[in-house]
Amino acid sequence: MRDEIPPGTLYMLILKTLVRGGEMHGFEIANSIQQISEDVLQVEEGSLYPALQRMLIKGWVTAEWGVTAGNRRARYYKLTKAGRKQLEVELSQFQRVNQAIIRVIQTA
Amino acid sequence: MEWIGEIWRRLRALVRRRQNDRDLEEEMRLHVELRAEEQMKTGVAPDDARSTAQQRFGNALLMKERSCDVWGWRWLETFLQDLRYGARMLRKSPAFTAVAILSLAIGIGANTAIFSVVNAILLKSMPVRNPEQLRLVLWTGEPRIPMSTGSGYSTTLHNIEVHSSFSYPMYQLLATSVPQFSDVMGFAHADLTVLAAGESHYAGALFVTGNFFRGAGVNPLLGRMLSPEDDRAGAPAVAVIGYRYWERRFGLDRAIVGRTIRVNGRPVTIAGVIPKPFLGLEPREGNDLILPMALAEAYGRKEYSLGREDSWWVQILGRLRPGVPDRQAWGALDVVMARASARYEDKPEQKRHPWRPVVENGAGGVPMWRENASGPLFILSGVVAFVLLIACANLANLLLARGTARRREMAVRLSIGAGRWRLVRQLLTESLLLAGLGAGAGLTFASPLSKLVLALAGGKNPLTLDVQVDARTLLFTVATALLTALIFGLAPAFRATRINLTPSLKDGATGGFGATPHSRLSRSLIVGQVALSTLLLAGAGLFIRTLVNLAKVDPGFQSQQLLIFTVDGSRSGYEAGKLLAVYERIRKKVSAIPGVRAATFSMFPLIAGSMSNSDISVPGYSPKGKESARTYEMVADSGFLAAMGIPILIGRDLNEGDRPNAPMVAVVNETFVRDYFAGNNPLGKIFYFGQLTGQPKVAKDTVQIIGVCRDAKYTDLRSAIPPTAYLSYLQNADWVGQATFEVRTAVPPLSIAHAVRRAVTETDRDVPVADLLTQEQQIRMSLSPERLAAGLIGSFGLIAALLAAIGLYGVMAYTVTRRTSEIGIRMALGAGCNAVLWMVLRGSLFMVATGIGIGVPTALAMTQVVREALYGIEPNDPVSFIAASVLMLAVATVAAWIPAQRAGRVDPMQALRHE
Repeated sequence: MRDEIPPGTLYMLILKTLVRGGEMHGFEIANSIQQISEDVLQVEEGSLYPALQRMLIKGWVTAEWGVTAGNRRARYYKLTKAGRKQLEVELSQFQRVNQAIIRVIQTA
Repeated sequence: MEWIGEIWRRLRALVRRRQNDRDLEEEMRLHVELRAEEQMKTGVAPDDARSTAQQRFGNALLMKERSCDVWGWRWLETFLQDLRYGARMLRKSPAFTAVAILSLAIGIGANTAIFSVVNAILLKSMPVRNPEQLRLVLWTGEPRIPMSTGSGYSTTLHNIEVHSSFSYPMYQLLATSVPQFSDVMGFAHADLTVLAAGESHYAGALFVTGNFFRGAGVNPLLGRMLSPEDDRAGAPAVAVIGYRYWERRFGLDRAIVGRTIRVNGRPVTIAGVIPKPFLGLEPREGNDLILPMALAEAYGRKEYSLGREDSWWVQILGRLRPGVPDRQAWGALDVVMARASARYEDKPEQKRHPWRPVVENGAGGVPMWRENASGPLFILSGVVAFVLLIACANLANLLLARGTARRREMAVRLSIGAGRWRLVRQLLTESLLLAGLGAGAGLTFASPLSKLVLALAGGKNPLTLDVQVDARTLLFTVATALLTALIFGLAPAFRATRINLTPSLKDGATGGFGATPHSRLSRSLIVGQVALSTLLLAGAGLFIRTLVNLAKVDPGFQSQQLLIFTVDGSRSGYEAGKLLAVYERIRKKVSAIPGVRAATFSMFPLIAGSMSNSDISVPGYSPKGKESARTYEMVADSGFLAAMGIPILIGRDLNEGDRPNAPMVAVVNETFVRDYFAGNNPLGKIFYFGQLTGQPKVAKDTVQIIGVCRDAKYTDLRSAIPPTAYLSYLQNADWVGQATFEVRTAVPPLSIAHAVRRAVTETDRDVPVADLLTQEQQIRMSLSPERLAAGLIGSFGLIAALLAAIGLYGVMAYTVTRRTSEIGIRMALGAGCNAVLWMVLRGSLFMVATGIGIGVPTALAMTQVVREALYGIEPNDPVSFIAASVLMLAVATVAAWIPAQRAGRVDPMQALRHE
């Protein structure tokens, strides 16, 4: 059983993935999210691309054309300083919301 | 600061739009391919692998579109696409496009032209540092300090009477005791005679305090500006010159700095040139030369004394410190002024209004002349706004008709799934394109038109104003174009897209016979256009009649064959008696020119706006109410009345025998006799200058009436002839200042202009000739505001009527086409040619009559506003109104006749077969 990723967390997931993996292209990002979540989280893969475009505008990532291991042209995304900062913001926000939700559902 | 980077990245994306698209496509394709390969490695068949990969990816097209939308340029793409489509549609119907653009160009261009004048006169700040901090210091009420006004103006601001001038000691007091101002500058205008490069001429000058340029924040274009060191007694005499003067007199010679010229006979060194944009504080006055205040008395006028407390001539401009409210500066000024005034005893019987400061925004310079201009500008703005409205109505009508013609196109697009909003947007983009093209075309003639308005409005002293199309004007034009597009485009766009699909797609559907909503709307638009045009035509009629009435006014003297020119020897160092001798020499010399019948001279020309008047006391006459008796005077050479052709009715004319030691005498006009002697014979009677009770102290103020002359116009043609007394220079040598010579000729007056100049130069090289023209030219010039009004409003009225006629023609032609089959049936049933023609014509005339019926009462209500500007007619002048209605009716009938005739020629067989 796979779950849709919660709304609003896609940026955070992409950012986190890039911190871990350095330069990655879209396919790798999608795969990475899926594998690390042990196939629980499924990204509708195409929706990655509008998100990446938005992140380019915001200046959180930069993109550079490169060549894959299989010798194919691919666009590689890299985190910027602003992206790192944004990740911290998103993480702390996510944790805050998460804890709050947990408190609400655990209170008898 | 992040948003700057974001905007930069968005803009870069806009430029690399195509590249971005390709990049996205490529990386998405790669993604799907990699996924498919991954599947195939696990043994899935290639086709299944590809479809799984695509499924997991989602709708690729949608994703790509969403990715592109992220950059936020979608609207621009659509807009450009609409624009291209619109341009194609406009190219397809060149006649429509030409009429539309032309009428919009006229409407928008006229509005831009008038706005650029409004902008230059009322809105623009002076090109100085932080103009918004500048304040003019004026005053109201009555000071206890004795005063005689040496220079400046009085006007009404915010419903109070304010005055501009202070004495120099008062200026010094205010300059040092109001800390809210960082700089307090003083200035005063004067006309000077300048001798430069061997030629003398008149120049307008501004005397300023030494801190003026630093305080105003004007930097030199060349050389240096004046400094406080220049404004000290004993400092070398220097001046800076204005750009236009530099251009006019010195041909932009850069070697001008350091050169010495003679100002009123004394040497002055030119220290620098003011940059072109700075036109001074008051464009009506010349700003040719700017000199330090310390020279004002010696080089300017004797009233411009730095020491005298009772001579008031200094105007004050202050720069408010940043963040200080006006109120505080006002309070400080008030305290200082009250204290200064309190030093003087107040006579107990006198009740005075307290003397108080007025602090007025000085960003645009001196406000007085702007106040005068705002009334006419208001009327003109209204007129051009109406023209634009009419153009809009016209366009809306054309678009409505076009919308009907494009019904099938719209229906097809709607039926294949275009949203209605999308179509409205498309049509509005087309309107915007039209408005843009119209505005562009309008801009090209806006600039010449605004210059023409200024030139005509200025008369003899053209306003030295900068009416370049600047950012604000451009913004106005763009906003007008946008608004215009909305006004004329919105209703037709909604109308065109409200379509019942089924019948519209069927060929040949023509709709019913009755008035459809479309035709109701376009009919009301025609009615509105006709109403507005009638209003403008009626207004034009009033102004044209005013001009005609004024041109017909008999000035009371013979204005033909009369050459006039002005000289001022007082600024070349001559004093009263000597000056008169110089003028007399010039008069003799000019009289000797062949073709000259007589030459004379006076204080100023007639019908030139100049005047001089005094309170008088007439024994036996008691003033009604508070107004004391008052006469206008003309001090002149004793041959003046004869040379001007003003006949003596009874008694005798002034002559050479009326000398200083003889009793003072005067010739008065009929109005004088009517007003002060109840029409009885006044010969030998006495009046006194000044308001007197009892006997006058000075014998010279006693005047004996020796003759009565016919009434003649004095300041202008419009004003009623005032009571006037003609006095001789010989007995009033202290009145001699500048003089205007009137030369009666037997030949065309201008043919002796050259000889006149030579005669004056030969008499005295230092006395330049100014304002040389014929008396008739002078009179025509005095009417230039009226000519401007009649010309502009008349042209706009005609344009409006033509536009309305085009609109009417369009609607009627369309109606006839639509009703062809109905007309065919009528004719088949026996209706005659003329009956059909009349039927169509009747429909048009009904609209026109309704329009006139609305326009006339509206005009009757609105023309009350211009009552002051009219002459010899009332604002409800029947001639103007009837003429406007008839003209409108005639133009409209011609426009409606053509389609009506076409209707009459319809061949019933053909019309019915078509059905």
